[in-house]
Amino acid sequence: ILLEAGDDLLPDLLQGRVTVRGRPEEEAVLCTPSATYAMKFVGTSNSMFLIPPGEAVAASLRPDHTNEDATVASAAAASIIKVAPGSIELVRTAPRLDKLRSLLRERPYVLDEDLGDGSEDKQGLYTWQDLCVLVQSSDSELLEGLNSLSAVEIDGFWRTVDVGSVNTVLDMILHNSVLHDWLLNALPENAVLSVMEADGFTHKIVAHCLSRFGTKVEQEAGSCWKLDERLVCLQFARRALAAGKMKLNNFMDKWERSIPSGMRADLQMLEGEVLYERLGAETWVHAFSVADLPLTPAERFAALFRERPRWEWKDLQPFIRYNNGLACTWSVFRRVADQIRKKNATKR
Amino acid sequence: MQIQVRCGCGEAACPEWAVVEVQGVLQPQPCFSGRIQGLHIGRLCSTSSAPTSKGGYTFTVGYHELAGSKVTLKKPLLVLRKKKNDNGDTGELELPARRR
Repeated sequence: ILLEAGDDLLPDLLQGRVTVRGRPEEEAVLCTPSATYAMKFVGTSNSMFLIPPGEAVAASLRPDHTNEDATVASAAAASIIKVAPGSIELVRTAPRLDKLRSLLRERPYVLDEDLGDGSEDKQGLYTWQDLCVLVQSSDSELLEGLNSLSAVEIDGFWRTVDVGSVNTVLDMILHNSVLHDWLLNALPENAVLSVMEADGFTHKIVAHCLSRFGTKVEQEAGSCWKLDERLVCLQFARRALAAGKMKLNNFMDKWERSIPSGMRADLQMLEGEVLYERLGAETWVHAFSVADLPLTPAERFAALFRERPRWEWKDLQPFIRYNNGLACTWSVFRRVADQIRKKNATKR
Repeated sequence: MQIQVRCGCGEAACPEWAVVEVQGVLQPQPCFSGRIQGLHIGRLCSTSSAPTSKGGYTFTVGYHELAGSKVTLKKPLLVLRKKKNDNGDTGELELPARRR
């Protein structure tokens, strides 16, 4: 098989850092440590004779049967081992991460879960190695995908955390911060972990929530966590909308009353997470998260137009913004969309 | 599944192969069908006095004389060979060589 590869890929290929990934029924992809490539076979009607290096071997058979002539056989001869029917071309492509999301949603981690010891209890649980085999992505793109899903590795398995559990842990952290006078922009890591552990929450899950809703700040006295106002308020907004669509005024009331004191609710925080619609004289709002939409362009647009047959550009934009590995496709779409918009603007 | 791509020879030592590309298909005469091992195909000659790249070449097969030139490929081509592991589940692709 012939494989055409750019010079930039040669070091990875020659040093064994490349794998081909996929199930037999899928189209194979070639993965370096950081990039994913679609493999396309390109045939040729030409005949390509492959000649490996090595000792020149005199032909033993000649069409005109003159091989007994020793003087003729002294000309150098190269041996052809095969005729190649074509070659495989590599095209950089987005990693196929939709599958990662559906795999990890099979069995989200729930607080106080009991996994059991039998092997059948491991159904829906995936280790890093399992994911490398099942998901068509390079290692670093796979890791990025896991981070964008807020996945966490627990006991060797990569898990998403069930929403209810996330809310419980977050509530408890906030409750304890009031009890212990912790500042939300400077939560003392060790104190938080030990108090939460006393309340029955593992270090792992508490650390995961801290990193999900905040950023770590190293200080002399120790590590601190600064909670991100937008991420925390967004989580409370999602909770408020969990029951379905609401009138905007009612939603704002409910949301503002639920967020921690000291934080301010702002509709800007909900960009790409909610949709508004006017029904009569009222504006209603419901949850619609970009994170739940398919990653491949064709499927994403199908999902968007299933939700709503017509979109204003300003409403559509947050749902088609760049995300991991799709920058090239999305930037093409944005450029085309911009051109259409400009053309329509000048028409009027 | 994952198929590891491995180079049998190490980055620095990867030998280069050559390719002779012709349009169309070469067929052995009927009397040789099934016994083409070691069969002489044709003669490749350089037409320029110095053996530089981009020199002219002629490839003579039977009574056909084909004209061509030596070309460096735009992108490297690697030769892969499938190799099955003992457990049969994953295979390995070996690169015996690369060529320009």
